[in-house]
Amino acid sequence: MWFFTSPKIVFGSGAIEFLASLPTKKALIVCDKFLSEKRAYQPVAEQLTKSGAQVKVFGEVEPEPHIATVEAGVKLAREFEPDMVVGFGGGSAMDMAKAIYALYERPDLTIYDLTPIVELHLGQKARLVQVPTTSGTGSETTWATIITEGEGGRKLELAHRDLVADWAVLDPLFPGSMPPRLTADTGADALAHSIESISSEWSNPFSDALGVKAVDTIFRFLPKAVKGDPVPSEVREELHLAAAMAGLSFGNAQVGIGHALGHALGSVFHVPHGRTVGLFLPYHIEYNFNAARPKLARLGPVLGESTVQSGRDLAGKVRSLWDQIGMARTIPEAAKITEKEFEEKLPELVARADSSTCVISNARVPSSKELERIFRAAWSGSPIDF
Amino acid sequence: MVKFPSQEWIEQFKEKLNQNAAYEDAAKTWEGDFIFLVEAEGALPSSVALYMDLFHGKCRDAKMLSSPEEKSAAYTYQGPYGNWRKLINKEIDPIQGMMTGKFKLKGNMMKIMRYTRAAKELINTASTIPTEFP
Repeated sequence: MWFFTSPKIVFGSGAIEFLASLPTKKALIVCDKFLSEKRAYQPVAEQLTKSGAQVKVFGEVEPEPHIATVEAGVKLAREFEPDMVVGFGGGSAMDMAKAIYALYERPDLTIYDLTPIVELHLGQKARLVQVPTTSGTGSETTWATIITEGEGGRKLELAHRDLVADWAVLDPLFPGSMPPRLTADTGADALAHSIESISSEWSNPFSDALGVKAVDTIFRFLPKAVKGDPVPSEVREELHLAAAMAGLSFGNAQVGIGHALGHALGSVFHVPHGRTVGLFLPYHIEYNFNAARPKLARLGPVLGESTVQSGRDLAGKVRSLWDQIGMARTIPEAAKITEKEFEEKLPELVARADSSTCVISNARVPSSKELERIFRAAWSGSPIDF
Repeated sequence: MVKFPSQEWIEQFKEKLNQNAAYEDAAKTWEGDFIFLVEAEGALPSSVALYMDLFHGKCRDAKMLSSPEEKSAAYTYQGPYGNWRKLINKEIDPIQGMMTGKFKLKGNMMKIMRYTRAAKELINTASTIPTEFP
C-alpha cells in the first residue's frame, strides 16, 4: 500500500491568469527579499486582485530559510488571516510558504511536528498555491520543506502529505530571466531528484514514469538553457515542466544519499543546494547502482543506449553533462574551502549526512565510514567502487 | 524457531542486535527505550508488549511485559499482530508502515527521524530471527 500525491497543476504560457478565477478574500504572498524589492510578484498580485482578493506580501525569505523567519511569517498570517497562501519564488520561498501555511492552520503545533507520521488535517483556513520562478527545486509539487535550525545551520528535513499544494502554477514567464549559473544549479537539482527517486527503495510506477521523463528532458534541454543566448522560450518551458515532474517523482518516492550528502555540505559550508546535490549525484549513482540496477538500467534508452551497463557508466554521463554546463565535480570547486577546513569539518559532515532522513529509502544503507569515504572521494573528484 | 511474540523471541532479538555492527554504528548516539506493542488480532488473542532499552548502539535490557501498562518508555511503536508479522518478514517498511497507518508511533518525532538508519537495521535484525508465528 502506498500513495501518489500531487497538487492540481496549471501549466503553460498564461497559466498565472488562472489565479483570477479562484475565489479568494485575502491572499498572503510569500517570497524572498530580492523578488519583493523588485516587486516581481506583481503579476501574481494583479491576478489575485482581479479575483477580488486583498493581497499582502511577506517578502523576508532568505536563502536557507530559518525557523525565525517562519515564526515572523506565521505571526503575519495570524494577523492577516488569509484564505490563500501563495509561495512565489525558488525552493526557499515555496518551502517557507508550506511551513507558514501549516503553522497558521495549526497554532497548536511546532515546526518539529511537520513529519509524515503526525496527523495534521490542514486546509481548514486556507488553500496553498505554489508559483515557482526557477526550474529545479520541485517544491511546487512535493510534500517536503527544508527549514534551517539554530546557529549551526542544521537543515530540518520536514515533510507531510498535507503540505502538498492545492494548486501548482507553472508559467514559463517566471523562469525566463534566470541567469545561466542559476539555470545550471537548479537543473542539476531536478536531475538529482529524478535519478535519486528512480533508484529509491520507495520508487513506484508513477514516480518512475515521471522520473524517467524528467531525466530525458533535462539531458536534452539543460545545456541549451545554460548556453542559449537568448534561451528559446520552449526550452524554458520544457525544463519548467521537467522540474515539476522530478518533484512529483521524488515527492512520492524520496531522494537518497545524494541529497543527504548535499544537505550536509550545503549547511556546513553554505553552498547552493543545486550545486551540492549535483556534485554528489554521480556518487549516489555509483554507490547505489548494483542495488538498484533494474531501475537505473531503464535510463539507457533515454540516454541513447539500449541499457546502462554500470554505475560508472551512468555516473559518467552525468559528469559529462556537468562538464557541458560548468557544474562543480569536486568539493573544492563547489565550496571554495581549503583542505584544512574540510578535514576539520569532516566529522560534522558525516554526522549530518548520517542523521539525514534522506537515507530512509536509499537503495543501500550506508555506514558512517562509507559516508566519510564518499566525502573524501568528492574532495578529490575520484569515482568510487565500493 | 522461536514464537513471536514471546520472552524467548525478545531475548534472541537482544542478542542478535548486540552482535550487529551496522546497528551499533547507526545508533551510536541513540538514547531511549521502546515498547513494541503487538495488538491482539486473529491468532493472537490478547495484546503483548515487548520492552527494549536501547542505548548507544546496544540493547541493555529486553523483556516481555506482563501487561502494556507495566512499564512506560520514551517511545511506543504499535500495530496489529498481522502487520507485525509482515514487518518481521520485511513485507512492510517500518517507516512506510507508519505513514500508511499500519503502525503508530508515540514519542519525540524529530529525534527519531534522525535515526532512520538505525530503525532499518533494527528491523533487518528482527528479520534474521527464525520466527514461528502462532
